[in-house]
Amino acid sequence: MKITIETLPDGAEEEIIIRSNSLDSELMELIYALKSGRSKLAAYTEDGIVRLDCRDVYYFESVDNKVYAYCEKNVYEIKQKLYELESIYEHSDMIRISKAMIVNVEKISKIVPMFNGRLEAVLGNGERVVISRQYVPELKKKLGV
Amino acid sequence: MKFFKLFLHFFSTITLGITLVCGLNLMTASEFYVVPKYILLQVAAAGAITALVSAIAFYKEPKTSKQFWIVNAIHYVLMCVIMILIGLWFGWLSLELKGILSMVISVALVYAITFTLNYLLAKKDADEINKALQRRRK
Repeated sequence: MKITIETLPDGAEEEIIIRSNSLDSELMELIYALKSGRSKLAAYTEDGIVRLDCRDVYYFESVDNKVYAYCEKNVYEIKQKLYELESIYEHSDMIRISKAMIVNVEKISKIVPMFNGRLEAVLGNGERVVISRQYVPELKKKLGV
Repeated sequence: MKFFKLFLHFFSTITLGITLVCGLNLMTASEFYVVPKYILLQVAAAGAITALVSAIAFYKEPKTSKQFWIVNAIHYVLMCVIMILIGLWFGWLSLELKGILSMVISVALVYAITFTLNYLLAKKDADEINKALQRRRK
């Protein structure tokens, strides 16, 4: 595959053109990843609204019917439901790891086994989140295991 | 489906544990002890009953470490009671302190075996996922 990058003049809109004989599943995955990676989420803090890049989110968690986005140091409230976020970021690095949590695979440093048979993900900021047994096959599939 | 998979997981690990502990107990039994004809079916039945109770107890995964240990402590006591009743029913033990204590220790041994098995299975998954994560970062 040939990749060509051109520098745009100031003010010009960025554009990605894909030339292909046919759109196979690999290309579709690439397109979805580009689309979702570029989209920003409206996140709420005490001070107001911020635009959150999902690539900065470590994990989303649903607590008491509210969804929060946990970044490296800050936590933001998100208006979307967890299942909506799961759908939006289906083809990105986000993956459901329990009934109440979606984690960013890129932010996982390592996986540690627990004595109850579950797995614990150690994130880049030192936080640890538990991966439910039933979501392990999907995580392995996402990582190509 | 999730409940059935959980039941099968517990049935296989617990039955293996009961089989090993049974084997250990038979090794220390008197040479005049006659092994019951249906011992294998009894072990399978004991495994199925305890697996069913375990699948119900752990269907909803504990959210915190504290909850996990509380649920396990209650589960262990329940398993001791169930196995003592099963033991009395199958004639594995008599209603004496020695027999009951030996069953309590046997349940603890089965616990240790199933915990170890669960940990090893989880470790295998963890190792595979960690390798995949490293490949992504290259």
